[in-house]
Amino acid sequence: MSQEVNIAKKELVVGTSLWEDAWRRLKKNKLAIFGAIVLILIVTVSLFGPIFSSYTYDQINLDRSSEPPSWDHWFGTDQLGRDILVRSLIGGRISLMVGLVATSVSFVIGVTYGAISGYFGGYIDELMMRIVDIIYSLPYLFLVIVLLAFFTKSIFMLFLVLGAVSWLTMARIVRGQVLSIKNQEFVEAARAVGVETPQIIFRHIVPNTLGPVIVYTTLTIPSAMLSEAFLSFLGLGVQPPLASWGTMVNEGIEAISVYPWQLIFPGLMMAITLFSLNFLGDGLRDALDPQMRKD
Amino acid sequence: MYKTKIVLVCLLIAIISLPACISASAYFGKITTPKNQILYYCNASEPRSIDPHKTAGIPEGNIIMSVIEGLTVYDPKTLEPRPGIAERWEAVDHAKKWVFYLRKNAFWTDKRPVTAHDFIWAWKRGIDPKTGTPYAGLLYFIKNAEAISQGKSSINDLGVRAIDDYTLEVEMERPTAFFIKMTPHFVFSPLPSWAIEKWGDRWTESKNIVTNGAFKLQEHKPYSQVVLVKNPDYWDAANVKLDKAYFYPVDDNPTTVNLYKSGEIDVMQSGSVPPAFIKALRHKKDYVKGTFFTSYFFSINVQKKPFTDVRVRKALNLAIDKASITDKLIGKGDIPATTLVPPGISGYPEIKSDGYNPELAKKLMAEAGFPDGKGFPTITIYFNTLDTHRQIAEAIQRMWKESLNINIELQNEEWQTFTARRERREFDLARNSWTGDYLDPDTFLNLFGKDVPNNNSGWINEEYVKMLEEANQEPDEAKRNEKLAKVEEFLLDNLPFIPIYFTALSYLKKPYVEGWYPNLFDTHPLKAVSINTEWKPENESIKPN
Amino acid sequence: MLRLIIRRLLGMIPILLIIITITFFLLRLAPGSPFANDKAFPPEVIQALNEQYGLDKPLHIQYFNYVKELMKGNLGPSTRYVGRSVNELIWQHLPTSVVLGLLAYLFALVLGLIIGIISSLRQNSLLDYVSMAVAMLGISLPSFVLGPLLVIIFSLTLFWLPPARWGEPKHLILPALTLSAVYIAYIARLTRSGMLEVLRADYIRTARAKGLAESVVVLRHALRGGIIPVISFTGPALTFLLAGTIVVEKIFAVPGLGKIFIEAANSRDYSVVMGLTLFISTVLVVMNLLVDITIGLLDPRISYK
Repeated sequence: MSQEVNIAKKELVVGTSLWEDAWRRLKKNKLAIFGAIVLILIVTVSLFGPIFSSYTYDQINLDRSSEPPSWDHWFGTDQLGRDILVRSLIGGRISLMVGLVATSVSFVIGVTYGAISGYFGGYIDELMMRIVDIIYSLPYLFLVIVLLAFFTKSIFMLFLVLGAVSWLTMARIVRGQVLSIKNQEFVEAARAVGVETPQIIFRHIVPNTLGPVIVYTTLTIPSAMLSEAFLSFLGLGVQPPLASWGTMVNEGIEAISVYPWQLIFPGLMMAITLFSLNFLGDGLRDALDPQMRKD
Repeated sequence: MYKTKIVLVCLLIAIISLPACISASAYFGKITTPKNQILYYCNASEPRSIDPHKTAGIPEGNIIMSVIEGLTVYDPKTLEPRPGIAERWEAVDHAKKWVFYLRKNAFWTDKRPVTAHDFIWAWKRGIDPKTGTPYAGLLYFIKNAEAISQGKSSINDLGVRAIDDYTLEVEMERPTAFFIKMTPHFVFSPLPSWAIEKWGDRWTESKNIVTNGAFKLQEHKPYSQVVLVKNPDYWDAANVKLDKAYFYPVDDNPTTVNLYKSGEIDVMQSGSVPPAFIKALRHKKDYVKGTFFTSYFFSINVQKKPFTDVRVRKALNLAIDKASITDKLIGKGDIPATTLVPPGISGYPEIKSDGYNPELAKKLMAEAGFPDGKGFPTITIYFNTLDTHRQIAEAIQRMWKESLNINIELQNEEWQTFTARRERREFDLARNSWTGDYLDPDTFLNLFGKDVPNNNSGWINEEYVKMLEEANQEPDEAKRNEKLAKVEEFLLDNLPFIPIYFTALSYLKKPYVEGWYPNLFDTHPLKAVSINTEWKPENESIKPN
Repeated sequence: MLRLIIRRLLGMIPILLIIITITFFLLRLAPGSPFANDKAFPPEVIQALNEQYGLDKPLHIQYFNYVKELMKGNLGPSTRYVGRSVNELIWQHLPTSVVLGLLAYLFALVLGLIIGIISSLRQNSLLDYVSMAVAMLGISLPSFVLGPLLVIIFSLTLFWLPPARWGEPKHLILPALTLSAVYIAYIARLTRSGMLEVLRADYIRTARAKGLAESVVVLRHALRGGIIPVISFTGPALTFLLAGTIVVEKIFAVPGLGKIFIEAANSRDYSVVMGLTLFISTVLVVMNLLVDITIGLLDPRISYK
């Protein structure tokens, strides 16, 4: 997402102040900065944490299956006696990547698609929205099953499948926003001055939809992480002994009243990530709020 | 942020305190002794049909066998055939023919007598390919049945005959001493031809159905419940104690256990206890253990290298520490398997076969040309998505890596995709399991026969087929068992599969439910079941927790 | 407006036809068979069953037969449940999903709006943070975690409510609660951000400047514009809820459309999957139409040309 922002930044040679303003305001938002720090921390431990552990994620020890947290195993062990801490960290890599990819796709495709649809309106809008309806209506389950039957399973496939649907609701939301913005004075003004259409859409309208877009993005991430668990049910996604937060939580839930740590720790890591993302998202939203800028 | 932390901490405490749910009390569930003879049972899934010729499922079988009585019924403990509609029977001509003498006091719910013709009509219907009977395979033991089903013979050639209204003669394709053990199976049910001809597929709806069993179908609300009530006109009604039985179609295991714990159901199908719960529950008084008639194994694609070499197959088998899978990983009392046929068939000898022996496994691998795993391709274990399957495969993956130094990949698939793959034999190793249909080794051994759809391994051996056929025609039970044991030894010598374990029964049952015995089929004739309304806990608190 | 509705309704027909066509071939491409079983049926039995359901014919013939029957309103027979038609299955289980879905959404709407409005009015206050944290919890606690948690608390510890099954009002509460959690969170957050945008808009300033009471400004003026994102979201959300919610129906053994769908998918009951897909897409298209109309009515700034 930040990459997106950067690209957009370069494009907006004239309007730099928007992004600089936003950055200045974001820095002032303690909660958002806190969220960002926690996020960076989680990414770092997920990437480098496993190196320092004396266990590997696939080290089975059936004699120590389902042990509660202890000095040996801080997060306890799973039913195969594997260290849940290491598995949660490794799982974080996958889940974070999944969240990132799904979000980027949803952001890039969804925003562009929704903005174009909403701005042009009329028949173009109708056609584009009906295409969204159709993709929405197809039984996703079978789409995936058929894809898996004809192509080899890989991490790329996983991202493709996740991305394919994550942008639909985003497109709807952006379109709704654009519909309500496009007739406002500042757009009319831009049009009157003769600004070209793509510029109007992406420089004047889209930045004004970023509030709901960012909020919705923070909502997409958890659902993408859970979709990944659903896809691994179909055999797409990480294969055992690897795991992701989603699959660990999924497995842990059955043991909730017996071995709660198998659910809590991966679940907690996921929750902390989502919370920090959320604070960061809110901060960004506020920072980018055009009205606030005017004030 | 401070508040957020509090919320998080509260949540954490709440979750960590949850294990208190399963505590030291003797019983797991809430127990309130009922006042009525009503049973609540979790029947695993919505019945696809309660027509004996339209279904192959266990939940459906549970209902069918309660409302329709066949020639014989299962003994609730031993599963031996006991008189049902047939009062007695005899094998004639070395079991080439069977004669059943039917009771004259058995009636359908519309007061018509149950006669030999009802069986003949039903069996002919079951054989007719137009009916599409999943369990038609069991009927194939009857003379000409398979040929009729394949359109090579006329339906009138089926080897069944009514000597009179109450005497049924069945001629077998070849001598079949174990035929009688199959007869309690629901596919051999008699059927009311007049009702089926009148209503078609809708004859099983509660307002149309005509039955002859100890219970009647009172209501079938899809996905909600099947209600059975005692049939007062049943010939043995005096010995039926239950007044009513509710069957709930709940297929989610944790949900089933929750219903049990809160006291909404009395008993459930075996296998409904989620694996994670087992270690915590296995010492509870209402947790039932026992042996089940299921063999869990991996199919090996013997037509693919390197599995064409029997030494490789044997090495893979020897390098699995099965006891540690059954005891440490699953822990519900499954029996580590070295053979195909599960224990529990009376008279069938125990067969010795290779146990865990990683040293020998290494030697065999070296002999096969893969010393220390060198040159061995990466192979894939396929399984349908389920935590238990995955955990077993993960454990085996690790064991093989450690003792044979070979690389294994695991791939789970959705059930249909997986089954299709297994049928097309597009695998190296595929999870498999088989539950016997009748109390005889043949129900397992013929899995590797010729033209058997479930012979996924692709191992077809003429000698094996011949040996099995010979053994099956032996009328003397002791001799036959000996011959069958030889057949199984031959199979184990060739090892087209990797035995892993024999599944244990595992379910929860309220202590006041009586006449519900753990048995190999997990089938429980309701006729024998009763509620002990006087039940009191012995010196212990009935409070759950 | 009327022209818009008519045009959209007519436009539905080709859309649905496209969906049917893609779905039909998608299903047949998926590996598996309606008659697959752990204990394989004898081949002659499978053949007979295929003939019985017309699955032995070439694919395009099957497709045209399906569309022909569809025109008559016949969705075909179920292969999983002998003797039951798809029409029957949908009609039998639709009320369950409608009752559960609407209740959950109503619940979500009321709570979500209240939380969202309050947080937006007290932006960056403690109240705001707490409500947003709770909302975030609703999102990060997926229903397969929340459901069992509620069951453990209310059914297995307090013994207040039944842990599962369907039929009486008491069976409704836990699944509706579980189902609504995510939607409460979504609606709260969408309302908050929507309101924040609107509260600074010129027309709200004008309203305030006119000296209108704050409650009137908020509820009559700001809310109208502020809940537009919520309404956009309502279309897909309600469709999801009506289509049945597989996880919640599984946990609570609720016989809704989600359960029917997943079972049909697992047993490759083609006509049931087709029927449900068709039904759900119709609902979706209608919902989106309703959403667009509502937005048009609420927001004077939007016009459809």
